[in-house]
Amino acid sequence: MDKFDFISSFYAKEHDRESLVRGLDSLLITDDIYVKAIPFASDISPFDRLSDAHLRNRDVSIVYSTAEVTLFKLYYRFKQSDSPRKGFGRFFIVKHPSFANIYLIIALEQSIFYYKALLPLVESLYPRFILTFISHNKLRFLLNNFMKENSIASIKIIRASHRIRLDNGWTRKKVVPLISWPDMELEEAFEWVQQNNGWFQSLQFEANRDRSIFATISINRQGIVGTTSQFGNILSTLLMPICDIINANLKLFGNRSRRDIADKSARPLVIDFGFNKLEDPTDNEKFIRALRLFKSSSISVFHGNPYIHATVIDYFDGSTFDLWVLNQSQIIIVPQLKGSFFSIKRLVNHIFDTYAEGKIIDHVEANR
Amino acid sequence: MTTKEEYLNDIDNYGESIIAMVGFMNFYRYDSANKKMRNDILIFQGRRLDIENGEKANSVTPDIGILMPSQRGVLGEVKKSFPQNSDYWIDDFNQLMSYDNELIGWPSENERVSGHDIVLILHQSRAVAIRQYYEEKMQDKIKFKRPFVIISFNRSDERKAYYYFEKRCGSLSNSDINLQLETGVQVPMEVFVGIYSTIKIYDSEPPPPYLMDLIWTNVILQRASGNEKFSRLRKNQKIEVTITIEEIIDELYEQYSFYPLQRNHKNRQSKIPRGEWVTGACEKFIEIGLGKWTNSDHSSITLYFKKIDDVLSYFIDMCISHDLEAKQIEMFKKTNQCKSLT
Repeated sequence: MDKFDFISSFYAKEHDRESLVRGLDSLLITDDIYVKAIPFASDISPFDRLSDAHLRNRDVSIVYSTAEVTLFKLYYRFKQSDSPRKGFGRFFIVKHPSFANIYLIIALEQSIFYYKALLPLVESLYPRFILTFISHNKLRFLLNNFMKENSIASIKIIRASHRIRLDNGWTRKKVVPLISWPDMELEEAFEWVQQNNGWFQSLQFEANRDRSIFATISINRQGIVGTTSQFGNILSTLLMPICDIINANLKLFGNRSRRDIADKSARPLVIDFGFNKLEDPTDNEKFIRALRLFKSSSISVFHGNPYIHATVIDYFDGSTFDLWVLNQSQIIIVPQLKGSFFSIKRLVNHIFDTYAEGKIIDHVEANR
Repeated sequence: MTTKEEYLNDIDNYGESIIAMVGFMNFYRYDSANKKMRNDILIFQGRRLDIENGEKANSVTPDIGILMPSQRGVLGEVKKSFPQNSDYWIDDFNQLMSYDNELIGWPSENERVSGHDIVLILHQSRAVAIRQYYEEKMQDKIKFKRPFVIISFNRSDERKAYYYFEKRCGSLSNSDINLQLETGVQVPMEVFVGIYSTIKIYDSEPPPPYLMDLIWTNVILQRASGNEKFSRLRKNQKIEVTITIEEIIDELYEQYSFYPLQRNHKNRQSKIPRGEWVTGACEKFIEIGLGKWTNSDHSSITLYFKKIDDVLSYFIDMCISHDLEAKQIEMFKKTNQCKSLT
């Protein structure tokens, strides 16, 4: 007797949010598949942007659309060992239940579709589609919260990709990528990376509950989550908190362009390290060196020591910023006429990646 | 010929003068109890005031003007540097003495005030010498009928960056501020960083590379970024931006001068930057191959926007090499003249 094709049956049904999650959880029990979810923000409707889009070597079409869920079909072409290859896959875009500009892409295709088609598609829509970034401390908090919510007894890291910030003044490369399979417990791994002035780019781990594997999960700094099971639980305890982070960043980074403010005043942001990170004059030099690695930008330093005043142009969209270091524990970012959400996120992300992570707060709040 | 270090110092001095102006104005504007700016204190920079009953139709344009609800005012000049030769110092005092008149054009209902103080704000490094000079000359050459006050400022770099203001002589009419400045006040830069970031130009000609950077980053870039090619523009490609001198002036004036702080009493304010400064900067853009005049009266220019890694350094380097070239041409001409004479 032929095996029942659950996947075709799953795609044949027009889902709402609830039935999609139920369907995915059923599939994960019966089939050996892996679900990937990409939370993102978009200031325009992604459905309009993607319907019948022909983007370079990719064609996108809508299979069906309900109020909450849209299924897309994506045809793609790529080269492998100089031979042209093509394929297609499907993915869902799901509206967030509460936040208007936040969506989830969900796909349960092979990894070749994900890496050769879906992720490049999302990246090609940057900056209209914006992924988040999760700081080291927030990732730790998210995973601890996930363990608590799901009564996870332990998390064992299977594979970790981390980056070490390196600045000895003479090496050109300031961030060194490393891949390891440390087989470490979560807390131990986070401590190790933090002590080595680094951060996790991605983690793959086994979450264990009651002496059995609850799920094998992957998560990266952009908030992309994959799982072998328990999608519903992971959605509510990992993906929804990531969407909360995106929403909080939208509020914090949004509406900062001076041209959109009636009196053209500035609305600065502060990166607060919580300790005297810039204590020594050489720290200023290190920070400026790290800043100059910001891709597709102009960095002009008006004053470098003992305080820092620089201007940053982001050549992705023409945003400009004044950047000040006026005490030893904070960097102040002042968006100028144009300081888009996307560009602020990119700049903060760069500082976190290449220099150090801190807490981002509004300047008014910082001076209270 | 100006070196890179000198250009950077000039730019630093220009920025420090703005911070000193804003810092001093904020002694009057900032309500420290409620941590917000007072709306009833009017400030102005570069406003034209007419001297009443002047023999000629004289007018003055002080660096700083403050009008309080009591209808008392303050006028002042900020001098980051004074000439080495003290013979020239009298010029600055003459300018300050020209403020010691009944002046018309204040942003009050009848355009007058009940009285005003005159303030000289100068860098600490010159404070003692200038005060001594003033005290020596106050019997004959330098005389003020109104309160005249010398205030020094300097940046102090401890764990936080501050501007330190201290009164060196005289008494301000506002007794609270007078008392504060008697013992010296540290103004943390981080409190007013939003204002420092939005005021980049005032009624004094900025160093050429600085003005070029201001125009390029804040006017030309903004227009180029509207072009659909912008985000994919390669380093060897360019976007043409055509703009009038008047448009450059208006955009910098409205967005990067003191204008936002004086928009409700903008009459008698000349637009900053001045037309001749902007024209000069545009001529430099053309000399370094970044633009061309689009009409014969030089009122409009086409600039070739390109992505530059460090805009300020680029324009400083360009100004230096252009200065060098000009000097070489001059020397060449002189040598040829000498040859033809012999």
